[in-house]
Amino acid sequence: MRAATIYLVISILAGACGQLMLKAGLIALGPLDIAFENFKDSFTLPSIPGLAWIAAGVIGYFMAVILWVKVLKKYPLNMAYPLLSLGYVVVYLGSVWWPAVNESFTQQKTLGVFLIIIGVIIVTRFSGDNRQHE
Amino acid sequence: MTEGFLSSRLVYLALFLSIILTSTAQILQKLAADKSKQLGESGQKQFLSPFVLLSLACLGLALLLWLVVLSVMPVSQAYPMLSLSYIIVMLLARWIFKEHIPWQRWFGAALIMLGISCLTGSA
Repeated sequence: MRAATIYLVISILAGACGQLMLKAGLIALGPLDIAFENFKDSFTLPSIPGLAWIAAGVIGYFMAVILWVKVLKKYPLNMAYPLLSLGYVVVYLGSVWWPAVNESFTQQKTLGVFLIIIGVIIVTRFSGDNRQHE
Repeated sequence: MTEGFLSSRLVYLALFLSIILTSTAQILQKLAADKSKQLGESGQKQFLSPFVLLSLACLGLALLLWLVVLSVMPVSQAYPMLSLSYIIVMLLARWIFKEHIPWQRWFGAALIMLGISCLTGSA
């Protein structure tokens, strides 16, 4: 496998894991109260695990961006960008599998996953010039 | 949506800006990649690239606007619209970077957008 392909896979996984960790963190924190009057009265220290997941999620996001720039050095933008949609697939599977997030598995969502995967295969198959012209 | 006419229009404006900023971030990251390729392969330089910082700023702003959108609009309606960025980025890539795009790739992108609608739609 080419290095750029490995960066692509890790970037997508890092972004998707970041998304899942943000969600787990927000679940651990509970509903956010943004209105200021209520904020003062009902201020409690946010839970440490919640904040830790959110920090980990932000780091995952950041890593995804840095690796993505490496991917874009090798692949044209119009081919690489649609591949980011594989992140939706990873997030869906993760959100069903990870008890901290605990979302539902439905036929419609699974159909969506298949459509995305077929779309990604088509995007990468019919290339012409996958390598960036110098 | 329960808000009045003006505020519902503002939500669409926020959604539109969020899509544009997400797409702009991709263009900036591609510029950063091209620039760092010109400078030679040193990962350290690219880390501090102004293009990367600017793209992170765009993503941050897009995220804030996205939260505004989600506070009013159901995610099943908003998320498929966000996937318009696939088409916008491809158009911009063709226009700015003169990338060649085979027609099958537009079709692939359309399938991806349909898949995203299925994945996020609550029907």
